[in-house]
Amino acid sequence: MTAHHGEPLLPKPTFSHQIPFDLSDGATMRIGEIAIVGPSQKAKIDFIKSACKEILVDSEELIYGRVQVNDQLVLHLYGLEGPDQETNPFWDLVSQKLLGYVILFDWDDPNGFPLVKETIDSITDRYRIPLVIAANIARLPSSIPTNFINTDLNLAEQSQFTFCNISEPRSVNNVLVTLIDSLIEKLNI
Amino acid sequence: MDRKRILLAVNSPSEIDKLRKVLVRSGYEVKVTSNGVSALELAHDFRPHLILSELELAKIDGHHFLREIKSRPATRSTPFIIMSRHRSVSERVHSIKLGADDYVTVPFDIREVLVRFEVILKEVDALQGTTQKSTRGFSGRLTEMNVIEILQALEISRKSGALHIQSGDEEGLILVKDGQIVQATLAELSPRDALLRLITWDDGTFEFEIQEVHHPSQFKDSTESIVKMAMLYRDRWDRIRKNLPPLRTAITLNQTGVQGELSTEESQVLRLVNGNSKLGNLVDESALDALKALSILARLFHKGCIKEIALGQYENGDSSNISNSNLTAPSNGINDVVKKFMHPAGLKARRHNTRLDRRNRSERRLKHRRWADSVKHENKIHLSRSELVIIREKLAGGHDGSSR
Repeated sequence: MTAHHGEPLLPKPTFSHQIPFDLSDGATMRIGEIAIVGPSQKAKIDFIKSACKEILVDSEELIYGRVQVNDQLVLHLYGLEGPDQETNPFWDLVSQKLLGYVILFDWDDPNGFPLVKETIDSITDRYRIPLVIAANIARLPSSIPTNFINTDLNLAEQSQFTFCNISEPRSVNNVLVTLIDSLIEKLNI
Repeated sequence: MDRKRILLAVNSPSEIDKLRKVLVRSGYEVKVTSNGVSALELAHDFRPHLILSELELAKIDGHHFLREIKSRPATRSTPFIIMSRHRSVSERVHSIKLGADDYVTVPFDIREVLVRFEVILKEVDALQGTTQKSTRGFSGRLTEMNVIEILQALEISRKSGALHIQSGDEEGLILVKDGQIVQATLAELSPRDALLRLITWDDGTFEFEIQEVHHPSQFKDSTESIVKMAMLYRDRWDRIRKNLPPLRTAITLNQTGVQGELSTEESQVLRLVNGNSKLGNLVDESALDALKALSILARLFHKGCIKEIALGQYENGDSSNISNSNLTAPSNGINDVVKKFMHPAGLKARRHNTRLDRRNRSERRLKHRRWADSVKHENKIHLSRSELVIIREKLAGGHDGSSR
């Protein structure tokens, strides 16, 4: 289906057109996919719920939500275990098509960063792809020198570190914006 | 107007080659097979208007074939004529009791058979003309309308009834009440697993019968939610399937494969591989979720632990994995065509080997790409800059969302 005389690309919205997959009439929804990876299932659920308002799939292996950007563009968020969890069939499925990753951990959890460090290493060893490491903290610090943290953590160039409050949609969106900015920068190079 | 399709299932296709030619000249579309298994597949894929079957068929005899055809909703109304050398009345009665619509003894007069076909097909047309007015529901092929699309249509129109879905020799059922899915059955699977499995079927037929449904719902979620989840599931299923041969493909353990270390679940699935195991059967037999089982099979395939059985390795002339197109309209007889595939030699064999080599090369490349950790994978950004900017603006929601 093509646009004619200023008409939208898609016909009037019906149930089937709200679904972010290839449409039966030949029109295709453009999809961006981002994985939220981390040790805490609850944190991933809260993060995706804050971004998407609604969790569409909530299983042990996959949490899934979507942000409808406009009629032709949708952002899919997948909550997944790390790439070393090879028993999760979804990892292999989504990993090759993703725009980037958010690696999420609870700042207050003493085991949090050591746990995600393995995930970070695993992802950066395998994929040259933007990722944002997001530390969930209930009360956000007023000012964070993230460049200093990045240097201190010796993160790969495609990685960013940020704090967020997963219960606040605005804060969660900031994490995603950070990732999108990395992608835009990558395209500019 | 479409030509009427006739399926001829006979033990010696060369003996009825004259009949086939006469039928083709008379305007019928004809397919011929000597194998009961492929006859069953053709009955669903080719959707004949009439079937003529000999009693003596390879793999599945004519009576078995007849029972299968008459037991399935999608094919039970297809006229079925038995052809046999038996002239005894008891044999005829037995066939008619099983559901045969007519009985032809060999040798036969082609003109007589042609007239019988015409009469039966006219009777069916007349019957359909009268029943269509009272028929409540619809039917079709899954290639034209898949299960998800059917469920969406039923949900929007708030229909109640039974959706019978058939693929190969499997048959599933989904009950819908006011557009909401209340039950799904397939073999011994749970309602959820049955539904998820059924929505992956893309080859087969369906028949929806409008009727009152009083069954208590086995699903907590609305059809809309279930369909969304099902679409995600189906999307994943299709992505894995792309890396695997067709589910009907028989596979075996690769004795020379580099197995490396296997996870517990990989070992569990690998233990199920026994001789000529078909991929689809392994998914069903596994205690794991079908998607997970399929994913593990893909990994085992790419690790080289299992391999496709070359056609020449099939025992006892099992041709059930051969494409139907290779079994139709023979020029030198069905058996010759089948034999060429069974025992690759000459041109066809060389072509086949070349195809296998190509596939093996492709698999090796894929295996390299996915399992060589030393090579970093750079995901292609498949959205444009402007699309990323639009997403950014949406997320930022009018405020400066940059965290840097």
